[in-house]
Amino acid sequence: MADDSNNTYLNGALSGVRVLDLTAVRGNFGAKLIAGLGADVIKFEPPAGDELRHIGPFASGHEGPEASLTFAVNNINKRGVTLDFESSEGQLLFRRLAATSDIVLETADPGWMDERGIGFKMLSALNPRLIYTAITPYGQTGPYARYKGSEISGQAMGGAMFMTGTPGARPVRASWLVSDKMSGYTAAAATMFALYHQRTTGRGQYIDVSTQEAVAAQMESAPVLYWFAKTIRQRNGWRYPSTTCPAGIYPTKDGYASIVASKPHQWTGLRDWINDERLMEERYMIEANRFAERDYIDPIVTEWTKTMLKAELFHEGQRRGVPIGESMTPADIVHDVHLLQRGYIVSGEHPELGEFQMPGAPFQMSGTPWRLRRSAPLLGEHNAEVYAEIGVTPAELTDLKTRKVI
Amino acid sequence: MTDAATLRPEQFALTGIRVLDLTWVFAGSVATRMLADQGAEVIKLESARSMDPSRGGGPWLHGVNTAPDGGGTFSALNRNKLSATLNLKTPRGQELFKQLVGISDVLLNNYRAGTMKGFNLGWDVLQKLNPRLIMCEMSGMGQTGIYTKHVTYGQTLMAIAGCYELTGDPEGGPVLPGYTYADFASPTIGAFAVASALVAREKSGDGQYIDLSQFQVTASLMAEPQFEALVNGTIHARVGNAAASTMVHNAFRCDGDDAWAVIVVRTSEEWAALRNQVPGLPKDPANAPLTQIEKEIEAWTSTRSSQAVMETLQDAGVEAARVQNARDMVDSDPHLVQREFFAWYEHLLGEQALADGVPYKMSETPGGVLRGGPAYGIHNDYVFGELLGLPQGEINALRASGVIG
Repeated sequence: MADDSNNTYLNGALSGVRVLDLTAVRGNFGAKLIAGLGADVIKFEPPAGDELRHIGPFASGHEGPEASLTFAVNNINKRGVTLDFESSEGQLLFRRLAATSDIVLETADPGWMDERGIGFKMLSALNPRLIYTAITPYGQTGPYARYKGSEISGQAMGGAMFMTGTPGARPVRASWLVSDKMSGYTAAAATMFALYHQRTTGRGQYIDVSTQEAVAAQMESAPVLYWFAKTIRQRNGWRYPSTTCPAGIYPTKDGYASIVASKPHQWTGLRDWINDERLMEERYMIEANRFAERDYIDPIVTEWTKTMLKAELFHEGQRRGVPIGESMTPADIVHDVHLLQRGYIVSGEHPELGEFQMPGAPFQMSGTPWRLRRSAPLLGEHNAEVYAEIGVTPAELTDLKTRKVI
Repeated sequence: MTDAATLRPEQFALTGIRVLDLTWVFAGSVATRMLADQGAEVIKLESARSMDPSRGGGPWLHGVNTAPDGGGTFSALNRNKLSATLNLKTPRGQELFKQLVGISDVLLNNYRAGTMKGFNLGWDVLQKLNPRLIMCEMSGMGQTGIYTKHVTYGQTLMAIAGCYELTGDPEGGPVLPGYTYADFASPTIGAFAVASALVAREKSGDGQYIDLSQFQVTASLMAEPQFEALVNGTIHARVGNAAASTMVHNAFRCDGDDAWAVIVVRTSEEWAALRNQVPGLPKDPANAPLTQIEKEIEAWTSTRSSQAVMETLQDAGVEAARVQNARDMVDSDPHLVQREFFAWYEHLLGEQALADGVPYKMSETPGGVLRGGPAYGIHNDYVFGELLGLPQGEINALRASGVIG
């Protein structure tokens, strides 16, 4: 980005907050949220580069460490450094940085940071104000703490995957990286609570986020439903888990559209629009009757939706008071007029990828607005700048580079 | 079972923060639940004309309908909160509301865009009453843009935010996540935004306004394929359970009713470890089609419970996980039990009842669940008597005239 000067941080909600970011794909979204509000987030990578740099999608026509769009979109607004965490010198540099920081976010296996002398106990002894957030598949304690986990396992163990797919058939995971994102934003919220607490008491703390639990807490209270009523939420395929009809995702000429017509005026709005005499029966005014006969009604609705465009269903449906949403592809979203008007798509420039447009702000703040402050760091881009801030001289820096500590 | 009742005020991060809570149903209540779990004083404001619909839903303990004082879902969403009733459509109700704004830190709602302005209680008005106020509105579409007046349900919102299009097998149409995660992403990120604004206020002294569009914030969870569409002009396809750079990445049928386990293999070491357990696999996975490999694995998993598959493979160094349903999580997950994940509170009927857990463990400020969802209007005397100083006679009169109620 053109404007790299420190004063671009001045009006961010989190300006002046320093964050050491050691997150992989699991927690990266949390660090992204925090960086978006103007914190000085320093992204750490091993000298060979972060795992995200090897995860697609990749920019067509580009190769190498800067080609990953996943890396580029998740690390905006951060500075980037490289560090060899296996070397004692690298560990020492990290401890020095942690001594001047507010937050560490990490996704290493339980025990990994401790073994390298950079775990919570060691760092908080140096800096009692430090908030240390660790995100792992199953948390730091309990019989599964050492189990291997990833995005799909998080959906499986947290109860999400069982409820996704066709009844009786193989469960399907939801896209895009749902359990990783849930872990990330849950960790970001907890970290902000801790930061407010730090600002008011001067004390930091340790936060243990388990992906399994982050997912389990977001299942529309499916565990509560089971505990009270012994009802297990099942997979519903293309239909919504509801007691109304139509309620599901219906094929259109050019894709799919989600329709929910539960209330009487929503049903009549849809029915009169479809204008098929088979749906005009008076008994269909009663929601329960429609639901009971859904296998008769849905094919009639589908016959009609297949003749329509999804955007037409969305916009005309809204005009008629029928809740319909077109199933947007990623391309539909980035060209959606509403989101464009809200400034969701931002422009920037990346040294290797060139000028780009990118999805941006998740929400708008009046006093401290979200801004694209800089594009994702190149591998090791801010080594000199960041290490100089903790007193590393240019000569020392060259030496560290030669010996591949950074 | 966590004994949250023994927590001291300093074991919550947001002690001393007062929140006026105009949220309802999942998409709003989750935000204030997160603040209340951390000790904020959350006052849920409702009226007979706009009562939180989740008060009327179950599930009911022993089948006893306790509406409007809440079933299991209401309590899970509104634990730790206070309940007061106020009709914002009356002039006196608005006056009292403004007084409450004057002594509060945060105001949250998930009304349709423009609702508060319609009451003449928009940010421009409230900010003048309390410059330290943080006001966060979490409408379906946001306060600006061409869709502001749209009617949205969680499910239709998930569709436009792109949550369905990429879920499902490549050969079929989209399938739906059986849970509306937009209803959790939006309010959790709303709670994050509010907490960030509280941090900023410590320095500046000023509150601010947060316009959160559930559509936008949910869409922002899928920035990777959106960026791909912008940069490459290509649209990502549905891939089912497949993932790049893996040798095995799917769910496999296990012994039992609708029982499944996920198995993931990324490295040659993990492949060798899997081969030690599962007979019939080739030495090099590249030497057999994936369908053949998956068939061999499923022949092995289908004679074992999903729990046994997970334990056996994890012990051998292979990533495996049960595809757990709600019963598995509540009744037979020793890990969640040992971590005391689920929260418990005293139900209206006097028994301990289960709620969704607090989704993190914090060492200094663990937070927790002190009580279930509040009975309708049960804290009116505290809010109008103690906080606003109205005499009991006036409270009774306001009740009789429907201003409170």
